Amino acid sequence: MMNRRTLIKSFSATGALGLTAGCAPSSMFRPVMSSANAAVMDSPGPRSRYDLVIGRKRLTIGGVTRDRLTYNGSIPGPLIHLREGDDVTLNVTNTLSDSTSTHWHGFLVPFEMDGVPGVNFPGIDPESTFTYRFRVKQHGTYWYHSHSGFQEQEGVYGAIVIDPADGREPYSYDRDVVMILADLPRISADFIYNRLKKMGSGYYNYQKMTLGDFAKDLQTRGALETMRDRLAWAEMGMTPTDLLNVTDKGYIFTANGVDAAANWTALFNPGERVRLRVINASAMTHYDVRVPGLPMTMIQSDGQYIEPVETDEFRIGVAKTYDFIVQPREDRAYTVYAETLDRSGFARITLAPRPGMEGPLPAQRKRPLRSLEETGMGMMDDSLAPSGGMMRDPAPNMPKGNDVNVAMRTMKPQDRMADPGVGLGDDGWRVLTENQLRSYRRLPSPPVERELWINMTTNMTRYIFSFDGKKFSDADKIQFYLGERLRLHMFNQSMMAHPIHLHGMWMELENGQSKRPRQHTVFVKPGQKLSVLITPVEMGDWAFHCHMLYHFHSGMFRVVNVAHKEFASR
Amino acid sequence: MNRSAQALAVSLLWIAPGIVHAQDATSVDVPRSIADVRDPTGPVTRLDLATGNIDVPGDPIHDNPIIRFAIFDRLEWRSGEGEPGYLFDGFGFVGGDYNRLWFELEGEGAFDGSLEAAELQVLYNRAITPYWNLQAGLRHDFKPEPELTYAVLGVEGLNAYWTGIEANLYVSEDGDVSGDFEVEYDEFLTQRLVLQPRFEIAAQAQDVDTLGLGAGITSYEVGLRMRYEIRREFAPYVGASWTETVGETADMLPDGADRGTLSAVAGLRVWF
Repeated sequence: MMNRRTLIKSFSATGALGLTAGCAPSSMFRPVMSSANAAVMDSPGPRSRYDLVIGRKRLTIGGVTRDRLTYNGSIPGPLIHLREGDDVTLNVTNTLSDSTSTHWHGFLVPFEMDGVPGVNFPGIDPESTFTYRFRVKQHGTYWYHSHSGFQEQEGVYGAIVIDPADGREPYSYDRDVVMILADLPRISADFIYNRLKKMGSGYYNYQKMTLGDFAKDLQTRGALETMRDRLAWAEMGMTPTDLLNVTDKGYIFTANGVDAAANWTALFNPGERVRLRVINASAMTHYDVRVPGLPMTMIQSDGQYIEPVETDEFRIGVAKTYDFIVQPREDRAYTVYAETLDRSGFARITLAPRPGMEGPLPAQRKRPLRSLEETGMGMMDDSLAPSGGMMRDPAPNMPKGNDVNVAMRTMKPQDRMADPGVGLGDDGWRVLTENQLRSYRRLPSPPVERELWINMTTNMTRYIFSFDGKKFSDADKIQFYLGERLRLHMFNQSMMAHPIHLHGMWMELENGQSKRPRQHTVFVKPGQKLSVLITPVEMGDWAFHCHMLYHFHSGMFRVVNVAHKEFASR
Repeated sequence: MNRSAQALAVSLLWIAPGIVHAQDATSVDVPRSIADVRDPTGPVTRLDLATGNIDVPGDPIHDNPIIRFAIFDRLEWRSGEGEPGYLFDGFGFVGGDYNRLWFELEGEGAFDGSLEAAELQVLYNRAITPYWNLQAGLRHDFKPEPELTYAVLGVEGLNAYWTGIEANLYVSEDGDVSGDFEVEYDEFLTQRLVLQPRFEIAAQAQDVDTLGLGAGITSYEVGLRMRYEIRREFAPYVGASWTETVGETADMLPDGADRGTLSAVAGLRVWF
């Protein structure tokens, strides 16, 4: 098998990823399984041109046979393998009867190449092809997906790997494996959205608090605290068990396009270092990833190299990517286990020395409960007032009064950078936290010229999601200026985590480290207050939204315009 | 923007060729001037980009979807003192997040007899706070005779304290004023077994002899239903209901008629 170290040496000279070591056909991406996805997740080497066809295909995944939407007939779409510095051509052909699009998630591209219909271009009409052309300005792990309607949820997504221009990776490894996580609807994305809009998020929640839980609480926590807690949740019309809105009742959880039972496998020789590139292409599911029996060395976050951090588990929010290295030394199979945040299901892949093996499967943990404290609602001296209450730490731009779109206000926004998040941290092993992320290289830090504030606001009952109490259709563009240095404060005034994605430019997470990590998607926990630094590097319109699919389609979306400061007409 | 500023913008824009912004921090370019801008490839000009004058056709999302919803909360068989009866009680709407056209249909009768009561409401329903809607419109009673039409003004509470509440005020075509109030609550015994207490009360401002209604509280109903959600959309239930006619309305009942009735109920809760 191809050795990664050899590979790096031969890389710039020949680009010879296709070299064989005499046995199996070699490549860094080398899964072993009978599924067609083995080929899909493989790459013989970087290319500068890909032809993608978005179409409809009947597929059986997780025992469910339905028409799905695909790139080139598969879910996920083909692994796109590029090289930094190359001028690439990506042709996307639409064979559907609806308009479509493709967005290169986390890419710095010219405005017309970003692929959001109605923001960057009109979309790709049926029976037509759009050619994306741009120079690749970055390397790392990314992904691509349709940005039209719910197509991404139906299967129109895939992984992207970009090699550094000089072929030099800062960390060495022998194997390279992509694990792209997703949540595939049991019925359809339209059905899920319809049910959420009609019944709120209770529809898929079969982990609700029951009368039995109430009785147990009375015993263990006492009547006063139990009633206080229950009334506070009831007043907001919410439930502490509503963690992701959609559960296993709505989804088949997949890794590399297949469910856990399919046992998607990648091979290693004991002692080799295996790099895993985990991409969360889910619409609504945050995953907690671990490899029981192996410490993980985290090396990349959102495509950006970080200083190595050893850990045992990490949470990957929707739309984010994390790369890590493990070194399995024993001659046995290991499981890369991705449990959903709400513990309603899991996806996995297997690392094995030989095909046909299966690693141990850990028991699923109990579904966690959100606490009022966690959402910034607890520990108040005065009342646990929901909407309309007085905030201790007032957030600019919050709508006043009883706004229909704002069912909850966080009383006490918190710095939660060191908090592993709901359901993590009590298992007796290490969990990655955001404050541990240190950029591999120090970023320039020009003085901040302007500060902006934005609040994540929700009404879970009506299923309305918004920024600052305004849905996209009622809001104006947000104005940025080319080259300025911005600090954007984000306040999560809701009980759900929101992975906030900004197109076309990086957000540098102010996590207390002097070497701030750069992110394309910032995971903002309930009740959390954080800030990012931004330097807009391209003029034009850019999407800014929560990446939870049904959240942004319900209004948690904005367009950011980047204009020249002196000539901006706004 | 005046002409000279525009000219300046354009000249600035064309000074330098585009610069590749490599992502590595060692070579991050923080553009210092507008000259560091790429060549546009699309129909958007450099001036458009600089001034922020961009209007791409279409919408990235459609956050005002039209929802069509219909539910029969109670579609039930009821035992009673005499012949068993039936009851139907449902509502539906068409509309977006804030403004909806609302329908309510309710009625009851005996299986061996005729329809005893049937009303239809057509309302405009508007969201006014996170959990409350204001509604106004018309109600028509097809039964009992004589048929009557009412103007309706009311509120609907969605989910505060996990309850459903509805309170309406009615003015009949004859000028008589009445009102009703309804509250129900879902307690999950298991993930699919739901206990639903329900309370309903009605009142009149004046006597309406033709309908046998007296001023004051006319009747109330207390019910307890337990449903099993085979699917969220489809749940059979059993339960009990106590209905009592009170006050002057009760005094107007014929001699020997029961004021209160205890019924066993069984039915279906279905929605689409």
